[in-house]
Amino acid sequence: MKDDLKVTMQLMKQELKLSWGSFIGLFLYYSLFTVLFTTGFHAQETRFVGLDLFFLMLFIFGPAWFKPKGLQLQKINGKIFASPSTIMGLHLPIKKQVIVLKSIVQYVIHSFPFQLYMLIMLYLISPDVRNTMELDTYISFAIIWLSFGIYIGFSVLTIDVGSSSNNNNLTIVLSSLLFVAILLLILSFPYFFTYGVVEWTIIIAKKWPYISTLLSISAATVGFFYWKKKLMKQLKQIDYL
Amino acid sequence: MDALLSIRDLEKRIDEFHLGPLDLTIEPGTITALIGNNGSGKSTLLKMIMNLVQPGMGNIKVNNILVHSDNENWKPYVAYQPQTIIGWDPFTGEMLKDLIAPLYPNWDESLFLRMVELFEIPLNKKFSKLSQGVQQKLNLTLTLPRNAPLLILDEPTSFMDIPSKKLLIDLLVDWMEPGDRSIIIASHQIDDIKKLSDYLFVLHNGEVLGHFEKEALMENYARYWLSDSVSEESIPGVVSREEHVLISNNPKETESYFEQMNTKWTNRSSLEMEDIITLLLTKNKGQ
Amino acid sequence: MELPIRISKDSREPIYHQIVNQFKALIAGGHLSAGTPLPSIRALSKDLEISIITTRRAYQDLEVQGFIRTLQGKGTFVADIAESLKQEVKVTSVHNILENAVETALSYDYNLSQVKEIFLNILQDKEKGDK
Repeated sequence: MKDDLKVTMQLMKQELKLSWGSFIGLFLYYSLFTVLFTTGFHAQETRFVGLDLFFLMLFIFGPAWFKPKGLQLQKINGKIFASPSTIMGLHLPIKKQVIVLKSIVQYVIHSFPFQLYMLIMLYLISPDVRNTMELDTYISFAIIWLSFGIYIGFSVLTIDVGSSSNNNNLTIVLSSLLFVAILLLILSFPYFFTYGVVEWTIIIAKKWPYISTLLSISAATVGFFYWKKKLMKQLKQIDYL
Repeated sequence: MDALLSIRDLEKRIDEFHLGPLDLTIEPGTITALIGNNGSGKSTLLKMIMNLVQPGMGNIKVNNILVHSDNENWKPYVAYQPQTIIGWDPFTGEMLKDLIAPLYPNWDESLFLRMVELFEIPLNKKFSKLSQGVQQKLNLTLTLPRNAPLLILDEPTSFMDIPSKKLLIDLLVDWMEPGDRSIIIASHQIDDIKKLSDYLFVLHNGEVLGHFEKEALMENYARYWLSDSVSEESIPGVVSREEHVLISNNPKETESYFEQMNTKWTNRSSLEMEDIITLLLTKNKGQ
Repeated sequence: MELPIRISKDSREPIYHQIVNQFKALIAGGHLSAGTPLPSIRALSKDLEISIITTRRAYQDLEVQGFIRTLQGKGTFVADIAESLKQEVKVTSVHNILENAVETALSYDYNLSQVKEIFLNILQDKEKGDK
């Protein structure tokens, strides 16, 4: 594991040289949304309705934006979509374990610092946020979302490792339907359950700060290992034709 | 010596395409040319050796380690140059070297520098900004110095100019000097086949047509000029005939038939490698 | 080093045999003196466009017959051979060439006395030329 990490870092060194642009992009992007959330929250008198989708996106797809050209997802010989650095790694004497680890580490350094930065700025800038939540409640709230960024956010990595566009039409239709359903659920959440998704996490953080924190951290841990295993399996099964 | 690579009963089905069953053993010190029509499965075979594609049946061993297993220790024994390189675009040659060289314990820095100079490669330019020919040169420059015992090249010179192709042949001949290394090269370049290869492994639409030692294959073919035309009946071994000129892929049988029939030929010559390969790859058409 | 070895793929003589005989002639004729380094098996294979299997066989034959020797890690060199062996090779190679010429003549349906006539003509021309 220690050796794997060493090789991972060594491989990432060259990629990081290309990434300063994406770090600036991500910083500006998360800053922009911090301002948007602060004003939205204020304008709606401490309601968060309508902003849920953006908030969720920042914890799932965040790092996928601003990838330097050449590291973005690519079509490989017509059938497979994968991150080019995954393919490059497979051509070299790099263990599959390391390829997966590198994807994860890259994802984390392109997401976690910016998500954390946004959460801190939200609390510092917005008096409404401070009025809604005490600091300990807010910490629980932050942990709920940062953990979400792991156990749900890491799912984005399955695209990095590669997916076959060879799937039959039924799978495509089903997954599109699922996507639309989730979208509708998030948007209609406030109408069925009074509050939106983000508001509910505020309520949960207020009511059960310790349990929600503990559960989130556990889910993040389980999620981490689940996705790692899932990615390994995917890497072994796909035909990179 | 143990085989560097051994492939047993390998089969793979991809949609309508079926590759194999296929057996291949690569001994140290040999160069094998992988020959086949477009879409014959050459690249797929090489990708299976690299564990990029899962075999449907059979197994592959590199240095006696099963490739399609959890043991990945075989990987440093192989240097693979794919036909289309993926993931190199955003990096410069210098960055790629820093990335690749530490992965191979026997990296030969002086060979790398020599090749950079011979091929006149700008190391400070992004890979995507190089022409296809220069990309191939850089690719080779970052593959050969890895000094892995098994070198796999998938059409390495298709975009390169003639002097560079010649240069590469000399570099590969030099690289083989230690005597314990092997090359598998998929190529449509007749010079690669003539000057480099010891063996030819021939595929046609996924089917193995044979694994030949070069001279043995050459000796299998002969062209005869006959003084008078022969009857239309089929002659053993003859694979092509145009008036007085016959080509046989079994000279022994053909000649004994001629002797029996008291047919005389005025001339007999061997075939060029191009002609033999053409015969091999077109004979099966329409079957 | 480029050696004046030319193989004929049309010949009925096996390729390794052609190589062995040409090397012998070069060594016996003094074109390759004792101690001269020879190209590696791989390099010669490239120059002659043949496989190392054939080249290795030729080198092995030459080594067994004492014409070359291989020093581990240093390469292959022309061996020091006895004068009598040189003479023997010279006689054999001339013999072989003449024999080939006769075979060619016979394949053109000349009879032996006609061949003899041609041969004597050549000798006569040579004698005149030398005077």
